[in-house]
Amino acid sequence: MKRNKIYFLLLLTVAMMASPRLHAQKDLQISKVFEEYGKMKGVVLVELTDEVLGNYNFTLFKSITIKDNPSTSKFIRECLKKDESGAKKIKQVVSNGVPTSIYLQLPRKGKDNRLILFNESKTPFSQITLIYIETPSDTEDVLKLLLKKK
Amino acid sequence: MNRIHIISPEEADVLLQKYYEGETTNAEEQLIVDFLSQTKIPERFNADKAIFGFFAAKRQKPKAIHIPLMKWASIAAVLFGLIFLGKGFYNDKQNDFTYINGQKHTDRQMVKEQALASLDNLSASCNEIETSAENLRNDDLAASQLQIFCQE
Repeated sequence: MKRNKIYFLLLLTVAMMASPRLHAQKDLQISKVFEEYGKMKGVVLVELTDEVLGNYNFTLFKSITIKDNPSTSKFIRECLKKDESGAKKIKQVVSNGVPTSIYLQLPRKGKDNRLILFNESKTPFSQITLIYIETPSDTEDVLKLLLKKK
Repeated sequence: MNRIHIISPEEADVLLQKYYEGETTNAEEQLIVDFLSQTKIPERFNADKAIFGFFAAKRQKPKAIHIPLMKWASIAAVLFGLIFLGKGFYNDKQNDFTYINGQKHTDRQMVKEQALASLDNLSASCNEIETSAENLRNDDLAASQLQIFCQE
């Protein structure tokens, strides 16, 4: 009986170890965006782990930039709408009744804060940017850094 | 209970002679085996012992190894975990990447540059909004717009 308990604990430990951080965004709908459009023409996909960008450490940084393919924005907005539940909307810009900028703060996962940043611009050309961030730093500080005037 | 009859070394000599000539019965062969299996026998039987020992080992039935199901499960889990972690560590090295027009690049500097470029896109749009807001606050702009109505 005691041995069975040890085996069970062993099993549990392995199961816990086998859940890598890198799949943390898999529970989100936006992961479909990265998967479906990431390798298409006119798209830039970035995945970066444990990197320091401008004094802040990012556990995970994932971004996708889609150029001249406005049809994807509908799908992305649908994904964002689903991910909005349980998230805090930091910022939303609506243009002609359509949200063109959405910043979401997701519930923390472990010690990391999680952010989703979406932007669609139409001038000078159509460009969609979607960013997913996991960082141990304070969300407000990170946003200040990210969105400071350049 | 069957009592084992141990033959004398002289009897063993006779039976071994018969054995090597292929004339022993099963019962006689068992007597030889019983004799040779003793720990203290004359040294002259060492060669015979080795031969019978070899055959005895061959005759042994393989032992069935019983490993409980939980043990199998834990072994499988550990192996799975190791494979998964190994894969994870391997992937970690490959995890910094960028796809540009469907082409994969793993140069870290390049990946970092692309990451910063995507952040620039956001900050640029923020600046755009702020500029628009500033324009709205701009009295000159308001005046120039009102001017249109004055001209009419």
